[in-house]
Amino acid sequence: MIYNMYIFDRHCQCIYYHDWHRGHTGKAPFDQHTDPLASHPSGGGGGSTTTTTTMTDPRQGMNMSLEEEGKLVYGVVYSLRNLVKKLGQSHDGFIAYKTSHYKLHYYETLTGLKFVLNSDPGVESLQQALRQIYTQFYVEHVVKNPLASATLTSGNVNPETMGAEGFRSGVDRFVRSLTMFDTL
Amino acid sequence: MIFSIYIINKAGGLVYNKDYSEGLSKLTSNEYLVLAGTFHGVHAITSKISPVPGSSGIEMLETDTFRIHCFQTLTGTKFLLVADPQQPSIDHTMKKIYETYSDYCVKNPFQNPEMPIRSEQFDVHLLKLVKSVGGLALSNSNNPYIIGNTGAGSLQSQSAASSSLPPTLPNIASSGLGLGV
Repeated sequence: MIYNMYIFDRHCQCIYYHDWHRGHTGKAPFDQHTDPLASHPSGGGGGSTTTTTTMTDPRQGMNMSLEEEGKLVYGVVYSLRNLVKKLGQSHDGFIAYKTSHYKLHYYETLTGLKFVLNSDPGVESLQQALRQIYTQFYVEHVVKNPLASATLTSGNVNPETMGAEGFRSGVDRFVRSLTMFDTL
Repeated sequence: MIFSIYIINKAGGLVYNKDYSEGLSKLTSNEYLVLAGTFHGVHAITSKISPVPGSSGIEMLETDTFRIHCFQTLTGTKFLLVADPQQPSIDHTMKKIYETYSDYCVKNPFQNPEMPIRSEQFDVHLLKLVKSVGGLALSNSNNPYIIGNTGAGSLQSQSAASSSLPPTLPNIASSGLGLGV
C-alpha cells in the first residue's frame, strides 16, 4: 500500500505532495486554499481517493497543516541522513526506515533533491521506484520545462503553477501501476 | 555481525554504548551523545508524521551498510542495535539484551535507571550474548574481544562461567565506559 509522497528541494521546501491511501477524513487541511502547499489530487486527473477516504479512527495530531508536516518530514530525513553519513561514512547510505505502521523510503539526487515515499511496512525497498520517478518524470516534465525551472529558482515553488501537470499525472499513473499500490 | 549497542534513557540521554565490530566510523563520546539525542527526537517525530493513525516511532533504520534496530520498553528506555543487514534473529537478540539489562542493571540497587551504566557484570554478559549470536567479526584477528573462551553457552551457565574468565577480560570490558557525562 502506497500512502503518500513528498519531494523537497535543496532549500528544504516541499515542492510536491501527493497522497493516495491516506488514512484520514477528507476535511483535513489539504483543502484550504490559503495553504501555498495545498495540492488538490483531483487536479491530477487520476481521480485520487483522498477526498473520499473516511476512517473511523481519525488520525491523531491531524490538526497539523501540510506545511508543518512537510517541515517535520524534512527534519526527520535530514537528521537521519546526517546520522547515517556520520556513522557509515558513505555518501548516500540512508535507504528507508520502518515503524509499526508505515515505512518511509528515501532517495536523494546528486543535486540535493529529496524524494520521500511512505508505504505500508511490508513493502520491499522502493528506492529504485523513486529513482525512476526522478529520471522518467521529474527530469522530463520539470527539468526540461523552462517554465517550471524559472519558478524553481525563484524560491517560491507551487506545484500547481510550475506547469507540471504532466509530472503529476505521470507520477500518479506510475505509482498506481506498482504492484504494491493497494495491496496490504 | 553486530557493530554496536546503545541504550538511551527516557530523556534521550545516552546511558550505555559499546562497539563490538569494526566497520563503522569511530565517534567521540560527545558525538555519541549527539547521536543518541538525535535518534530520540527523530523517534518521537516519526510517530507524529505517520500517514496512518496510531503508529509507533522508528523501529528499523535501513542503510546500504548497516541497520539500526530500535526497541523501546514500556518505561521509555530505548535499546539501539546497530547490525549488519544480514544479521539473523534480531528480535531474539533484542529480547536477550533486554533480559541482560533487567538482570544486571534494573535489579542492581546501586543503579539509577537514568544514569550511565557502569557495571562490569553487564559488560561481560552482554559480550557473551553478542558472541553467542555470532555478532563478532571472526575474521578480524586484532579484535580485542576475541579471547580464548569462545563457548556459546546459555545465560544460565554464564554466571558460573564468569568467575573463570581470563584475567584480561575485566579490563577490556570496562575500557569502553569512558562516557564522560
